Amino acid sequence: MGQVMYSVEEVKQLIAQGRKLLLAGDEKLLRQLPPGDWIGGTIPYFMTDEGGTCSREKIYVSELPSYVLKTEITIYDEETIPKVYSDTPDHGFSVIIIPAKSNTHLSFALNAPNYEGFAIHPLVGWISGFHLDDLGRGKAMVFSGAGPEALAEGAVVMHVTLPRNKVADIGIINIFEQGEGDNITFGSDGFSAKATYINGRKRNLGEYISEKHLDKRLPLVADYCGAMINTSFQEGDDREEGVRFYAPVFSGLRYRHAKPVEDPVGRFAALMPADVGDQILFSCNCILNYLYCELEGKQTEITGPATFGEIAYQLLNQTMVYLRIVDLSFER
Amino acid sequence: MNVPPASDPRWSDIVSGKEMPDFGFLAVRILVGTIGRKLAKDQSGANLEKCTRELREFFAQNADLPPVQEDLKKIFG
Repeated sequence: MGQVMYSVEEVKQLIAQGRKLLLAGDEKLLRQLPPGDWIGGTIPYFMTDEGGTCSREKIYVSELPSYVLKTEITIYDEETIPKVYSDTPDHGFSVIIIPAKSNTHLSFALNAPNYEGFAIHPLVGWISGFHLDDLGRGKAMVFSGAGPEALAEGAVVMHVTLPRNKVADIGIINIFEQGEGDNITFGSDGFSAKATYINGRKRNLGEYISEKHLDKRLPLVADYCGAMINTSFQEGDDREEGVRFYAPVFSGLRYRHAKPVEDPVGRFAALMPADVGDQILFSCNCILNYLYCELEGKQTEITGPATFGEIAYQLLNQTMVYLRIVDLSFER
Repeated sequence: MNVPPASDPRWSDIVSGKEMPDFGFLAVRILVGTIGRKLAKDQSGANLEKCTRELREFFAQNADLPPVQEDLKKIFG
Protein backbone atom coordinates (compact mmCIF):
# COMPACT_ATOMS: atom_id res chain seq x y z
CA MET A 1 0.00 0.00 0.00
CA GLY A 2 3.03 2.30 0.23
CA GLN A 3 3.71 4.68 3.07
CA VAL A 4 0.90 4.91 5.61
CA MET A 5 2.58 6.19 8.81
CA TYR A 6 3.66 9.84 8.76
CA SER A 7 5.19 12.30 11.18
CA VAL A 8 3.22 15.39 12.22
CA GLU A 9 5.44 17.56 10.00
CA GLU A 10 4.80 15.33 6.98
CA VAL A 11 1.02 15.42 7.59
CA LYS A 12 1.16 19.21 7.90
CA GLN A 13 2.76 19.32 4.46
CA LEU A 14 0.07 17.05 2.97
CA ILE A 15 -2.64 19.28 4.45
CA ALA A 16 -0.90 22.40 3.09
CA GLN A 17 -0.92 20.80 -0.36
CA GLY A 18 -4.71 20.53 -0.14
CA ARG A 19 -4.78 16.74 0.12
CA LYS A 20 -7.98 15.14 1.38
CA LEU A 21 -7.04 12.97 4.35
CA LEU A 22 -8.47 10.43 6.77
CA LEU A 23 -6.24 10.36 9.85
CA ALA A 24 -5.74 8.20 12.92
CA GLY A 25 -3.30 8.92 15.70
CA ASP A 26 -2.59 10.02 19.21
CA GLU A 27 -4.52 13.07 20.45
CA LYS A 28 -1.39 15.17 21.02
CA LEU A 29 -0.37 14.66 17.37
CA LEU A 30 -3.78 15.43 15.86
CA ARG A 31 -4.04 18.60 17.97
CA GLN A 32 -0.96 19.99 16.20
CA LEU A 33 -2.52 19.85 12.73
CA PRO A 34 -3.68 22.96 10.86
CA PRO A 35 -7.10 23.50 9.28
CA GLY A 36 -7.69 21.56 6.08
CA ASP A 37 -9.65 18.91 4.28
CA TRP A 38 -9.21 16.16 6.84
CA ILE A 39 -10.95 14.26 9.59
CA GLY A 40 -9.31 12.16 12.28
CA GLY A 41 -9.75 10.07 15.36
CA THR A 42 -7.60 9.04 18.29
CA ILE A 43 -5.97 5.62 18.45
CA PRO A 44 -2.33 4.52 18.87
CA TYR A 45 -2.68 0.98 17.42
CA PHE A 46 -2.18 0.24 13.74
CA MET A 47 -1.74 -2.51 11.22
CA THR A 48 1.06 -1.41 8.88
CA ASP A 49 3.07 -3.00 6.09
CA GLU A 50 5.60 -3.97 8.75
CA GLY A 51 2.89 -5.55 10.92
CA GLY A 52 0.82 -4.51 13.90
CA THR A 53 2.34 -1.68 15.90
CA CYS A 54 1.60 0.79 18.67
CA SER A 55 2.80 4.34 18.03
CA ARG A 56 2.22 7.68 19.73
CA GLU A 57 4.69 9.36 17.37
CA LYS A 58 3.20 8.75 13.92
CA ILE A 59 -0.16 9.34 12.25
CA TYR A 60 -1.84 6.79 10.01
CA VAL A 61 -2.86 8.50 6.77
CA SER A 62 -5.43 7.38 4.18
CA GLU A 63 -5.47 9.84 1.31
CA LEU A 64 -8.47 10.26 -0.95
CA PRO A 65 -7.60 10.09 -4.66
CA SER A 66 -7.41 13.24 -6.78
CA TYR A 67 -10.43 12.19 -8.88
CA VAL A 68 -12.74 12.79 -5.90
CA LEU A 69 -15.14 15.53 -7.00
CA LYS A 70 -16.16 16.98 -3.67
CA THR A 71 -15.78 16.51 0.06
CA GLU A 72 -17.88 17.94 2.83
CA ILE A 73 -17.08 17.62 6.53
CA THR A 74 -20.10 17.47 8.84
CA ILE A 75 -20.24 17.20 12.61
CA TYR A 76 -23.16 15.32 14.10
CA ASP A 77 -24.36 14.89 17.65
CA GLU A 78 -26.74 12.51 19.35
CA GLU A 79 -29.71 14.49 18.02
CA THR A 80 -28.57 14.89 14.41
CA ILE A 81 -26.80 11.56 13.78
CA PRO A 82 -30.03 9.99 12.39
CA LYS A 83 -29.47 12.14 9.26
CA VAL A 84 -26.08 10.60 8.48
CA TYR A 85 -27.32 8.14 5.82
CA SER A 86 -29.63 10.58 4.09
CA ASP A 87 -26.80 13.17 3.97
CA THR A 88 -24.51 10.75 2.09
CA PRO A 89 -24.07 11.85 -1.54
CA ASP A 90 -26.15 10.03 -4.16
CA HIS A 91 -22.94 9.00 -5.88
CA GLY A 92 -20.18 8.55 -3.37
CA PHE A 93 -19.63 7.42 0.17
CA SER A 94 -19.19 8.75 3.69
CA VAL A 95 -16.51 8.11 6.30
CA ILE A 96 -17.56 8.40 9.95
CA ILE A 97 -15.50 8.48 13.14
CA ILE A 98 -17.22 8.41 16.55
CA PRO A 99 -15.54 8.63 19.97
CA ALA A 100 -15.88 5.45 22.04
CA LYS A 101 -18.44 5.61 24.85
CA SER A 102 -19.89 8.92 23.66
CA ASN A 103 -23.66 9.28 23.61
CA THR A 104 -23.47 9.43 19.82
CA HIS A 105 -21.63 6.08 19.78
CA LEU A 106 -24.27 4.44 21.94
CA SER A 107 -27.15 5.96 19.99
CA PHE A 108 -25.68 5.05 16.59
CA ALA A 109 -24.93 1.50 17.73
CA LEU A 110 -28.48 0.86 18.90
CA ASN A 111 -30.50 2.83 16.39
CA ALA A 112 -28.64 3.15 13.07
CA PRO A 113 -30.66 0.43 11.30
CA ASN A 114 -33.77 2.53 11.98
CA TYR A 115 -32.31 5.77 10.59
CA GLU A 116 -33.73 7.06 7.32
CA GLY A 117 -31.88 5.71 4.31
CA PHE A 118 -30.00 3.03 6.29
CA ALA A 119 -27.50 1.20 4.05
CA ILE A 120 -28.73 2.85 0.85
CA HIS A 121 -25.35 4.51 0.32
CA PRO A 122 -21.95 3.37 1.63
CA LEU A 123 -21.05 4.45 5.17
CA VAL A 124 -17.73 3.23 6.51
CA GLY A 125 -15.72 4.21 9.56
CA TRP A 126 -14.56 3.45 13.03
CA ILE A 127 -14.84 4.13 16.74
CA SER A 128 -11.91 6.13 18.11
CA GLY A 129 -10.19 5.10 21.32
CA PHE A 130 -7.04 5.48 23.37
CA HIS A 131 -3.99 3.58 24.60
CA LEU A 132 -5.06 0.63 26.74
CA ASP A 133 -2.63 1.77 29.44
CA ASP A 134 -5.05 4.71 29.84
CA LEU A 135 -8.12 2.52 30.49
CA GLY A 136 -10.32 4.30 33.01
CA ARG A 137 -8.86 7.75 32.35
CA GLY A 138 -8.36 7.88 28.56
CA LYS A 139 -10.70 9.95 26.42
CA ALA A 140 -11.49 9.05 22.85
CA MET A 141 -11.63 12.06 20.53
CA VAL A 142 -12.51 12.87 16.94
CA PHE A 143 -11.23 15.81 14.90
CA SER A 144 -12.63 17.90 12.09
CA GLY A 145 -10.04 19.65 9.94
CA ALA A 146 -12.63 22.34 9.28
CA GLY A 147 -11.72 24.51 12.23
CA PRO A 148 -9.89 22.41 13.30
CA GLU A 149 -12.11 21.17 16.09
CA ALA A 150 -11.68 18.37 18.61
CA LEU A 151 -14.70 16.57 20.00
CA ALA A 152 -15.19 14.00 22.73
CA GLU A 153 -18.92 13.91 22.05
CA GLY A 154 -20.46 13.65 18.59
CA ALA A 155 -19.30 12.23 15.28
CA VAL A 156 -17.25 13.63 12.43
CA VAL A 157 -18.15 12.60 8.91
CA MET A 158 -16.53 13.26 5.55
CA HIS A 159 -19.11 12.99 2.78
CA VAL A 160 -17.32 12.22 -0.49
CA THR A 161 -18.72 12.61 -4.01
CA LEU A 162 -17.23 10.39 -6.73
CA PRO A 163 -17.29 10.74 -10.53
CA ARG A 164 -19.97 8.65 -12.27
CA ASN A 165 -17.50 5.99 -13.44
CA LYS A 166 -16.33 5.17 -9.91
CA VAL A 167 -18.26 3.44 -7.15
CA ALA A 168 -17.47 2.74 -3.53
CA ASP A 169 -17.75 -0.82 -2.29
CA ILE A 170 -17.52 -1.78 1.38
CA GLY A 171 -16.27 -5.22 2.35
CA ILE A 172 -15.69 -7.00 5.62
CA ILE A 173 -13.33 -9.78 6.60
CA ASN A 174 -14.62 -11.72 9.56
CA ILE A 175 -12.39 -14.56 10.67
CA PHE A 176 -15.15 -15.87 12.93
CA GLU A 177 -18.12 -18.02 12.04
CA GLN A 178 -20.96 -19.47 14.02
CA GLY A 179 -20.08 -22.52 16.08
CA GLU A 180 -22.17 -25.64 16.40
CA GLY A 181 -23.49 -24.74 19.87
CA ASP A 182 -26.78 -23.48 21.19
CA ASN A 183 -28.97 -20.81 19.63
CA ILE A 184 -28.82 -17.68 21.76
CA THR A 185 -31.53 -15.02 21.48
CA PHE A 186 -32.42 -11.91 23.44
CA GLY A 187 -35.71 -10.37 24.52
CA SER A 188 -34.57 -6.78 24.02
CA ASP A 189 -31.87 -4.69 22.35
CA GLY A 190 -28.94 -3.44 24.42
CA PHE A 191 -25.27 -3.30 25.32
CA SER A 192 -25.84 -5.70 28.21
CA ALA A 193 -28.05 -8.63 28.98
CA LYS A 194 -28.81 -10.54 32.14
CA ALA A 195 -31.46 -12.84 30.74
CA THR A 196 -31.22 -14.71 27.49
CA TYR A 197 -32.97 -17.54 25.71
CA ILE A 198 -30.90 -20.65 25.07
CA ASN A 199 -32.62 -22.72 22.39
CA GLY A 200 -35.78 -20.88 23.42
CA ARG A 201 -35.43 -21.50 27.18
CA LYS A 202 -34.92 -18.49 29.47
CA ARG A 203 -31.58 -18.50 31.28
CA ASN A 204 -29.22 -16.19 33.14
CA LEU A 205 -26.59 -15.47 30.47
CA GLY A 206 -23.73 -15.09 32.96
CA GLU A 207 -24.52 -18.47 34.51
CA TYR A 208 -24.75 -20.04 31.05
CA ILE A 209 -21.35 -18.64 30.04
CA SER A 210 -19.80 -19.93 33.25
CA GLU A 211 -21.46 -23.34 33.00
CA LYS A 212 -20.37 -23.81 29.36
CA HIS A 213 -16.91 -22.31 29.96
CA LEU A 214 -17.41 -20.07 26.93
CA ASP A 215 -14.24 -18.24 25.84
CA LYS A 216 -15.30 -14.58 25.94
CA ARG A 217 -12.51 -13.65 23.52
CA LEU A 218 -14.70 -15.27 20.87
CA PRO A 219 -17.74 -13.18 19.88
CA LEU A 220 -21.38 -14.02 19.47
CA VAL A 221 -22.06 -14.30 15.74
CA ALA A 222 -25.36 -13.50 14.02
CA ASP A 223 -26.13 -14.50 10.46
CA TYR A 224 -27.41 -11.49 8.49
CA CYS A 225 -28.49 -13.27 5.35
CA GLY A 226 -25.01 -14.69 4.86
CA ALA A 227 -23.03 -11.80 6.38
CA MET A 228 -21.60 -12.91 9.72
CA ILE A 229 -21.92 -10.04 12.22
CA ASN A 230 -20.08 -10.24 15.56
CA THR A 231 -20.93 -8.90 18.98
CA SER A 232 -17.97 -8.98 21.37
CA PHE A 233 -18.03 -9.60 25.11
CA GLN A 234 -16.69 -7.10 27.61
CA GLU A 235 -15.05 -8.28 30.81
CA GLY A 236 -17.05 -7.99 34.03
CA ASP A 237 -19.09 -9.75 36.66
CA ASP A 238 -21.54 -11.47 34.32
CA ARG A 239 -23.85 -12.97 36.92
CA GLU A 240 -24.48 -9.90 39.06
CA GLU A 241 -24.27 -7.01 36.58
CA GLY A 242 -25.36 -8.83 33.45
CA VAL A 243 -23.12 -9.61 30.52
CA ARG A 244 -21.79 -6.49 28.84
CA PHE A 245 -20.98 -6.20 25.12
CA TYR A 246 -18.96 -3.82 22.92
CA ALA A 247 -21.92 -3.53 20.51
CA PRO A 248 -25.60 -4.09 21.14
CA VAL A 249 -27.28 -7.44 20.92
CA PHE A 250 -30.62 -7.26 19.15
CA SER A 251 -33.86 -9.11 19.73
CA GLY A 252 -35.10 -10.95 16.67
CA LEU A 253 -31.63 -12.27 15.78
CA ARG A 254 -30.28 -15.74 16.44
CA TYR A 255 -26.72 -15.77 17.73
CA ARG A 256 -24.21 -18.54 18.27
CA HIS A 257 -20.87 -18.46 20.02
CA ALA A 258 -18.04 -18.37 17.48
CA LYS A 259 -15.85 -21.32 16.59
CA PRO A 260 -12.23 -20.99 17.77
CA VAL A 261 -9.81 -19.85 15.05
CA GLU A 262 -6.57 -21.86 14.93
CA ASP A 263 -4.49 -19.55 12.76
CA PRO A 264 -5.97 -16.01 12.75
CA VAL A 265 -3.30 -14.46 10.53
CA GLY A 266 -3.65 -17.27 7.99
CA ARG A 267 -7.42 -16.89 8.14
CA PHE A 268 -7.21 -13.16 7.37
CA ALA A 269 -5.01 -13.98 4.37
CA ALA A 270 -7.33 -16.75 3.18
CA LEU A 271 -10.41 -14.51 3.35
CA MET A 272 -8.76 -11.54 1.64
CA PRO A 273 -10.48 -11.07 -1.73
CA ALA A 274 -8.17 -11.44 -4.70
CA ASP A 275 -6.98 -8.40 -6.63
CA VAL A 276 -8.50 -5.73 -4.41
CA GLY A 277 -5.28 -4.55 -2.74
CA ASP A 278 -4.70 -1.61 -5.08
CA GLN A 279 -8.34 -0.52 -4.90
CA ILE A 280 -8.50 -0.20 -1.12
CA LEU A 281 -8.87 3.38 0.01
CA PHE A 282 -9.50 2.90 3.70
CA SER A 283 -9.51 0.03 6.12
CA CYS A 284 -9.53 -0.69 9.83
CA ASN A 285 -9.38 -3.73 12.05
CA CYS A 286 -10.61 -4.30 15.57
CA ILE A 287 -8.43 -3.73 18.63
CA LEU A 288 -9.76 -7.07 19.95
CA ASN A 289 -8.39 -8.85 16.88
CA TYR A 290 -5.12 -6.96 17.44
CA LEU A 291 -5.00 -8.19 21.04
CA TYR A 292 -6.56 -11.65 20.98
CA CYS A 293 -4.98 -12.67 17.66
CA GLU A 294 -1.66 -11.19 18.84
CA LEU A 295 -1.25 -9.15 15.65
CA GLU A 296 1.57 -6.95 17.00
CA GLY A 297 4.47 -7.49 14.61
CA LYS A 298 2.35 -9.61 12.27
CA GLN A 299 1.14 -8.64 8.79
CA THR A 300 -2.44 -8.97 7.55
CA GLU A 301 -2.07 -7.53 4.01
CA ILE A 302 -4.64 -4.78 4.67
CA THR A 303 -3.36 -1.93 6.84
CA GLY A 304 -5.20 0.61 8.96
CA PRO A 305 -5.97 1.66 12.52
CA ALA A 306 -6.90 -1.01 15.10
CA THR A 307 -10.08 0.46 16.46
CA PHE A 308 -12.62 0.32 19.29
CA GLY A 309 -15.34 -0.60 16.80
CA GLU A 310 -15.72 -0.79 13.05
CA ILE A 311 -18.49 0.61 10.89
CA ALA A 312 -19.65 -0.97 7.66
CA TYR A 313 -23.12 0.51 7.30
CA GLN A 314 -23.62 -0.32 10.99
CA LEU A 315 -21.42 -0.88 14.03
CA LEU A 316 -19.41 -4.12 13.97
CA ASN A 317 -17.02 -5.85 16.37
CA GLN A 318 -13.93 -7.99 15.85
CA THR A 319 -14.08 -7.43 12.10
CA MET A 320 -11.76 -6.01 9.45
CA VAL A 321 -13.55 -3.45 7.29
CA TYR A 322 -12.36 -2.00 4.00
CA LEU A 323 -13.58 0.50 1.45
CA ARG A 324 -12.48 0.08 -2.14
CA ILE A 325 -13.17 2.16 -5.19
CA VAL A 326 -14.20 0.27 -8.30
CA ASP A 327 -13.80 1.74 -11.76
CA LEU A 328 -17.00 0.84 -13.62
CA SER A 329 -15.38 1.37 -16.99
CA PHE A 330 -13.21 -1.68 -16.25
CA GLU A 331 -15.96 -3.71 -14.57
CA ARG A 332 -18.44 -3.52 -17.42
CA MET B 1 -31.92 -1.83 -15.05
CA ASN B 2 -35.65 -2.07 -14.39
CA VAL B 3 -36.57 -2.39 -10.73
CA PRO B 4 -40.08 -3.87 -10.27
CA PRO B 5 -42.56 -1.89 -8.15
CA ALA B 6 -42.96 -2.56 -4.43
CA SER B 7 -46.28 -4.26 -5.17
CA ASP B 8 -44.48 -7.15 -6.89
CA PRO B 9 -44.97 -10.11 -4.50
CA ARG B 10 -41.39 -11.29 -5.01
CA TRP B 11 -40.23 -8.38 -2.83
CA SER B 12 -42.40 -9.47 0.08
CA ASP B 13 -41.21 -13.08 -0.39
CA ILE B 14 -37.67 -11.84 0.37
CA VAL B 15 -38.71 -9.55 3.19
CA SER B 16 -40.79 -12.25 4.92
CA GLY B 17 -38.00 -14.81 4.55
CA LYS B 18 -40.08 -17.07 2.29
CA GLU B 19 -37.32 -16.80 -0.33
CA MET B 20 -33.70 -16.30 0.68
CA PRO B 21 -31.31 -16.13 -2.28
CA ASP B 22 -27.58 -16.19 -1.64
CA PHE B 23 -27.03 -12.45 -1.98
CA GLY B 24 -23.50 -11.27 -2.70
CA PHE B 25 -23.52 -7.52 -1.97
CA LEU B 26 -22.75 -6.71 1.67
CA ALA B 27 -25.34 -3.92 1.95
CA VAL B 28 -28.08 -6.22 0.64
CA ARG B 29 -27.16 -8.91 3.16
CA ILE B 30 -27.11 -6.45 6.06
CA LEU B 31 -30.33 -4.77 4.95
CA VAL B 32 -32.22 -8.04 4.48
CA GLY B 33 -30.88 -9.31 7.83
CA THR B 34 -31.95 -6.09 9.54
CA ILE B 35 -35.38 -6.19 7.93
CA GLY B 36 -35.83 -9.77 9.15
CA ARG B 37 -35.06 -8.58 12.68
CA LYS B 38 -37.55 -5.71 12.39
CA LEU B 39 -40.26 -8.07 11.16
CA ALA B 40 -39.59 -10.53 13.96
CA LYS B 41 -40.54 -7.69 16.34
CA ASP B 42 -43.57 -6.49 14.42
CA GLN B 43 -45.22 -8.83 11.96
CA SER B 44 -48.07 -6.49 11.05
CA GLY B 45 -49.05 -5.96 7.43
CA ALA B 46 -48.12 -2.29 7.74
CA ASN B 47 -44.59 -3.18 8.83
CA LEU B 48 -44.23 -5.77 6.07
CA GLU B 49 -45.23 -3.08 3.57
CA LYS B 50 -42.79 -0.58 5.08
CA CYS B 51 -39.92 -3.07 4.99
CA THR B 52 -40.77 -4.05 1.42
CA ARG B 53 -40.60 -0.39 0.37
CA GLU B 54 -37.27 -0.03 2.18
CA LEU B 55 -35.73 -2.98 0.32
CA ARG B 56 -37.12 -1.87 -3.03
CA GLU B 57 -35.77 1.64 -2.46
CA PHE B 58 -32.28 0.25 -1.89
CA PHE B 59 -32.31 -1.56 -5.23
CA ALA B 60 -33.80 1.44 -7.03
CA GLN B 61 -31.07 3.74 -5.70
CA ASN B 62 -28.25 1.32 -6.52
CA ALA B 63 -29.50 -0.24 -9.74
CA ASP B 64 -26.46 0.96 -11.69
CA LEU B 65 -24.04 -1.11 -9.58
CA PRO B 66 -23.12 -4.44 -11.18
CA PRO B 67 -23.16 -6.48 -7.92
CA VAL B 68 -26.58 -5.05 -7.05
CA GLN B 69 -27.81 -5.99 -10.52
CA GLU B 70 -26.60 -9.53 -9.85
CA ASP B 71 -28.58 -9.65 -6.61
CA LEU B 72 -31.65 -8.22 -8.36
CA LYS B 73 -31.44 -11.08 -10.86
CA LYS B 74 -31.47 -13.52 -7.95
CA ILE B 75 -34.90 -12.14 -6.98
CA PHE B 76 -36.47 -11.58 -10.37
CA GLY B 77 -34.44 -13.70 -12.75
